[in-house]
Parts: sequence; C-alpha cells; structure tokens
Amino acid sequence: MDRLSLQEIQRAFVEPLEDFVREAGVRMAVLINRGGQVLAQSGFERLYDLVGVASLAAGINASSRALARQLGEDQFEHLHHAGEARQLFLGHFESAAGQLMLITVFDENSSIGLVRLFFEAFVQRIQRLPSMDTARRSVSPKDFESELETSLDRFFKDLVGG
Amino acid sequence: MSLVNYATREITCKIVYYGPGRSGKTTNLQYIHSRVPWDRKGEMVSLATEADRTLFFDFLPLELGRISGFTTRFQLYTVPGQVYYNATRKLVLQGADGVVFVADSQRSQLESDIESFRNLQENLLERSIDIRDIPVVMQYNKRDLPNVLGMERLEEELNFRDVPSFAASALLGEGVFDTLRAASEGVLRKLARKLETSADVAAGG
Repeated sequence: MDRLSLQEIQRAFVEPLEDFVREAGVRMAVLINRGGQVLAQSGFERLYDLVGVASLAAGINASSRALARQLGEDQFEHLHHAGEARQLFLGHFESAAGQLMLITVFDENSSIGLVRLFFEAFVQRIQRLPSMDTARRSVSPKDFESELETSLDRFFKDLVGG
Repeated sequence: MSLVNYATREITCKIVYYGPGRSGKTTNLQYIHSRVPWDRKGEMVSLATEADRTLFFDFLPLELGRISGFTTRFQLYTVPGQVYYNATRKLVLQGADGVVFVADSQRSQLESDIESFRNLQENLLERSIDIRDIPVVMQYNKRDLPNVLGMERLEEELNFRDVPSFAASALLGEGVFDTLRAASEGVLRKLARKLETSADVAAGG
C-alpha cells in the first residue's frame, strides 16, 4: 500500500481544505488533531489567533466527548454555534492520522446546510488518503540534540531579556 | 504528543502545569506572558470562574526559536487544581509531552500536594502513560511565604524520582523561567530520542 511522506500529507490536507473553503463559502477553516495541533488552515491571518482557536476547539471537542460517554453515547454529532453575524461549525471524523476535527467560521454568505454538505465531501477526500509514514529522515537527531542546549540558552536569554 | 511538521519545519509540543488548587499554576503562565516579547507569544486564554479559579484550562502559545532549522513552539496549559475538577484535568492532560508539577511549599498544603501528585500518576496511568516515561519537572512555589517546608522535606515527600526541581515565587517571577527551561529541555531531548528511533526505522526499512 502506498504511504505518504509528511510533506505529501501536508499538501494532501491543504488542497481539500481550500476546496472546502471555496465551495462552502466559509471565511476560515482549520484542520486540527485531538490535541489541538494545527495540520492545515485557510483564512487565518495571525498564527496566534489560529492556535488559540485550535486549543479552545480541542477543549470543546474533548469535553463534548467526555459528556457523551457519561451519557452512554460514544460521541455527539457535530457542534454548531450561531452568533448574530458569525457561526461556528466543529466537525470531527476518523482518519488514518487518528481523530481529526475541522473548525470553520462562516457568515451570511454560507449556511449550516452548505457547510455540512461540503464537510462530508471533505471528510471523504481525507479518508481516501493512504496511510501516513511518519518515519521520515529529514532531520539529524544527533545534530538536533547537540544544538539543543545552546539554542535553549539563547532562547531564554532572549525571552527574559537577560 | 509532539507534532513535527517536516514540510513547514515546525515542532509543536504541549507542556501541562499540574498541581493542587491555588498552588500558582496560572501565576506561572501569567508571569511568562508578561515577560515574553509580543512577537514570541499569543494571547493567553483563561477559562476561569468568577473567583478567578481555573475552570477548564489556561493556554499560552509560545515560540522559542529555531533548532536544527525547525521553528520550535510550545503550548503551555494549566489544569484546574481543585479536587472535583478531575474530569477536566484528564482532558487537558491528553497529548501532553511534558508536565510541570507546581507544588505549594506551605506546610499546611503538603497533603494537597501529595494528593495532587498521586492524582497525576493515576490520570497518566489511565492513558497508559507511566509517569517515568514523560518528562516531569517539580516546582516548589511560594518560597517567599512564611511557614514553608524546607526544600529537603519537599523533595523527600514529592520527588522520589529525582526529577529536576526548582524553588520558586511565581508571583515575583523567581524560578519561573528556570522551570520552563528545564521542562522544555526534557521534552525536546525526548523528542530527539524519538527522532532517532524513527530515523533508524526508516533507515532499516
């Protein structure tokens, strides 16, 4: 069976995500794993806004899942929060990379129906991807470790202005 | 679990600040947030009750810099310390690469420290993680207060694994960055070992 390299994985996520954003007419979308780490995104201009959204969404997903289990369900359906101008959709699904979640923000240019429709299409594309090969040698572990101490010294000196 | 993205050359790791209620976990993050330049950090997100007790978690994204060409980012989380928030503590622990245990050094808080450390071990075990397999750093906080236990006593009661430990007064910033540095180093050293293992697999396969 074909296995994807990590570079290919990233490309493999980005294209379906951008298609989803265009077809569903949403403003922003981000694909994260269960830990809240970002795998692909479209529409966020500032990295740190993105990671804040991702960590909060991972928290919502984790607490929703825990609540479902207490009530005898495996997991609840997708979550949808509607505000006056903007709406948020959080959809989870299984993939070769474990459970992933798509977070998307949309306004009056789209609708929850459209988002759901194109979310299903997006999930199918991701689920068709081959397994992922995470063992790719593109960094020398020895170099990494030997640089570690001096890098940390430098970082913390910069951080605390010492 | 650390995320290594070879395409964008980024490493993202998660460090969780654990410990009993009111031991100073949020104060650690607040101090870090107050000192780190704006271009190296994101917004600090705090999900707290009206009484400023952490309800779910605090979150602070931080960028350290580049190692071997990889931009290294940390996501710092705290857990709610109070005993009855165990369900949310378990959620926040998911995917942690390292733990900072913030103990309250006050004599009256020793039992809470011990109970919280036991709770950490149990919650990790529930996720099939042996506490010996995850980088842990001890911080003995509130050293500026009267009636604190001696460092030796705290080490004896809490640090039987002999992990790196630091005296701290998080409110004043003392020991905060030493603790974070040790935790970062532990997490990244573990990641380097993991890279080595996966490189061996790739080379052998």
